[in-house]
Amino acid sequence: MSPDEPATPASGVRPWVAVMALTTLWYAWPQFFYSLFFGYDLLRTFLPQWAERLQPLVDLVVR
Amino acid sequence: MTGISLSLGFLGWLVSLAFTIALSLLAARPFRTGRRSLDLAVFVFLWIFLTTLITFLVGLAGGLKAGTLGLVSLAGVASIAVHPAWRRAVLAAGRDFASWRAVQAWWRSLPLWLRRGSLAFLVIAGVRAAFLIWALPPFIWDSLTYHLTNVAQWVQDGRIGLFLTPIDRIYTPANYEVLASWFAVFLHHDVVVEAAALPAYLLIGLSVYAIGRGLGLSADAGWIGVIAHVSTPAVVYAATGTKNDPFVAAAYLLMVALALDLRRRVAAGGEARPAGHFLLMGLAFLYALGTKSYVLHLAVGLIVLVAAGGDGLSLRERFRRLFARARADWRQGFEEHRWLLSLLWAGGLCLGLYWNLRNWVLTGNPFYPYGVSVADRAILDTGLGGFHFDVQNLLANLQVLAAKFGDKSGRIVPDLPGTTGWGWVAHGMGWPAAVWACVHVRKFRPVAAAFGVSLLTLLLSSPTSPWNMRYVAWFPAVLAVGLGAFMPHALEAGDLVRRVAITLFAFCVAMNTLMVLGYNLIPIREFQRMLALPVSQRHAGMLHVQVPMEYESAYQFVPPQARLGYNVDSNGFVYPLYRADFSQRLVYVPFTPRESCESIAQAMRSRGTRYLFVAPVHTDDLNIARLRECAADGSALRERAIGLYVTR
Repeated sequence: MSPDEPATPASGVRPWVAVMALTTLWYAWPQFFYSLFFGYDLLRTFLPQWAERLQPLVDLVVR
Repeated sequence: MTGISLSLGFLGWLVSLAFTIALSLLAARPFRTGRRSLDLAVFVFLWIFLTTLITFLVGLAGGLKAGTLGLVSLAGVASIAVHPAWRRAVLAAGRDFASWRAVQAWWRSLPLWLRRGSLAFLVIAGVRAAFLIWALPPFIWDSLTYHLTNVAQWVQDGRIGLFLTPIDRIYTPANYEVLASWFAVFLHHDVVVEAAALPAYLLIGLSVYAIGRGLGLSADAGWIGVIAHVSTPAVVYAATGTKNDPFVAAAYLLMVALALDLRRRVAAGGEARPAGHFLLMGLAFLYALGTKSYVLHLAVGLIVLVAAGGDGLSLRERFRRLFARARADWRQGFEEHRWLLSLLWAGGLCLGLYWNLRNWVLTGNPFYPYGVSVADRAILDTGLGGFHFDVQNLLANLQVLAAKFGDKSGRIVPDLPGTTGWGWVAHGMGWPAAVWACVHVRKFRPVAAAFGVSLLTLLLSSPTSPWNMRYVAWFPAVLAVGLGAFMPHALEAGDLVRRVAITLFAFCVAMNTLMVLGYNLIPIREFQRMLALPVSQRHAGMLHVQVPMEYESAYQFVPPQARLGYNVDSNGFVYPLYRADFSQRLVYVPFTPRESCESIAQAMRSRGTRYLFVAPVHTDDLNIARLRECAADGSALRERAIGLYVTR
C-alpha cells in the first residue's frame, strides 16, 4: 500500500478472511458441481463406469 | 486455399503486424507517463486503435484483401525504415517497452507462491485459448447472426459496407468487426478469428494492473488484482468468444486507469500532463463508441471519478487546475507531435462516429436498428426495442441482477443466461475485499463510486434480459482491485491467516479456470468430431452446439462456387452459410407464406440461385411450412436435403 494509507492492524483482517471463507462456501453450492461439468464430461466419455458411480450425485445437483 | 496463397497471406499478415506495432510505438511516444504499466496499456490500446483504423480506411476504399493490406503495410514499414528519426524512435521505444531485464526484475519482485501460481495460470490459460481457437469454429449466437456475418461479407467483397440481409443488427457500430476482419482477411479463413478479442483481454489485464498501481498498490498486490479479474469466467469467455464487449470493457478500464493517474498527478501538484491523458481518454471513448454505444452510459462513472473528492481539493479547484494545465501542456509539451495527435484525433472521430453518422444519414436514426425512449416517451422509435432511460427499467434490472447474484441458476456459459458470469474469485473473495477496501483504503472509494455509478447508469437503460450481464464484464475489476488491496494485509496477519488467504485465492482461481476449459458448454463428443475434421473444414455449421443440423446440408449439397439463397429471420444465423473460408456466395431470398410456389421459385431465379436454405428457429415456421407444401406439390420446388430446397 502507499505510505499515506493508514496501516490496518493484522488482527483486523482475520474476520474478513473468515467472511471470505464463508462467502466462498456459499458460492460453492451448487456452483462447485457446475464448475466441474467439463471434468465430468471427460470422465463420462473416457471412463464411463466411474461416471456411473457419480450418477446419484449428478441427479441431486441437476434436480 | 493453396499452400502458396496461404504462405503469402501469412507473410502479408506478419508485415502488417510489424507495421502496426511500429506505428503504435511511434504514436505512444508523446503519451509516456513514466509509469510502465500505464504506458504498456496505452501502447496495446494504440495498437488496437491503429490496426482497426488502417483496416477500416483500406476496407472503405475497397482494399480489404490480403494483397492490398500487405502492400500498404509494406509501404508503411519501408517509410519508417528509410526515415532515420522514425527508425531511431521506433527502435528506442521498442527497446524500452520490451525490456527483458525490467520484466525479470518485476517477476522476481513477486513472492514465490504468487510466481508459481501465476505461471501455472498463465500456461493453462494460454494453452486453453490456443487450443479452443484452433479446434472450434465460432459458435456464439450474436456472432453467427451479425458480428461475423459482417466480417465474412466484407472479406468476400474486399470492401466494408452494407449489404442486403434481414439481420438489421449489421448496422450497429462495428469497430470490433473491422479488427476481426484483420484477423481473417490474410488467411481468407476464420481459423484464428476467435483470437480477435485477445488484444482487448491483454488490455483489460494491463489496465487493471495500472488501476491497482495508480491506487498505490505494490506490484504483487496489483498482480493479484489482475489474476483475480482475468480469471473471471465472463471475461475469459468473451476473450475468445467473437464478441465486441471485451473492447468496451478494455476501453472503460483504460479510461479509469488514466483518470486515476490524472487525479493522482493533479493532487500531487507536480508534473501533471493532462493533455495527453485527455486525448487518450477521448480516443478510448471514441473507439468504444464505435464498438458499442453503451460506453455512453459507462462514461458517467468516469466523470464521477475525475470529479470525486478525497484528494483535498474542491471540485472547482480540481477542474481549474486540470484545464489550465491541459491548455499549457497542449501548447508546450505536444508541440513537436501536434500533427501526429491531430491525425490520431481525426482517426478517432472516424472510428467513433462513422457508424452512427452513416445510420443517421441512411435511416434518420443514429442508433438504428434500436430506438431510444426516456421514461415512456419514445425519442426514436423503430419498433425493434432499444434503450429505455427509465427508473422502472433500472429497478427491473436490479431485480434481475439480484436473481443472478451468486450464479445459483445453473452453469456459467458464454452467453451468460441467468448468471452474472463473475465466478468464484469475485463472489467468494471480491465482494468482502471490496467492502474492506472501501472502509480502510481512502483512495479506493472514488474508484468504487465510479464503478457503481457506471453500473447504475448502464442498468438504467440496458434491456432487461437473461443475457444482459455480458455488458458488465468490466465490473468485477473493482472487486479484483479491492482484493489486490486486501491480500498484502492478510499475508502479514500470521501464518494461519496467510495460509487460508492463499489457499482460498488459489482455490477460487483454479475453480474459475476449471470451469472455462471447454466453455462449460461444449461436450467432449463435439470436440472429438471437430478434431476429426481438417482445420479448413471446421465450418461454424459443423459444431452442433447452437447451430441446427440443416446447416450441414448446405455444405454437403451446395457447391461452394454456386450462389446460395437463404431465408432466415432478423435473429437467424447467416454466418455459418459462408463456410470457414468465406467461399460461399449468399443471397437473401425474401418471401411470404402466402406466395405461390412458382413465385418463390421465381424470386430465387431472379437472384441468381437455384438453392434456398431454411432452418427451424432461424426461419419463420410458416415459411418453412410453405416450402414443404411446395416440395410436396412438386411443380416448382423440391426438397434436396433437410432445410435445403432447389428449383425444378
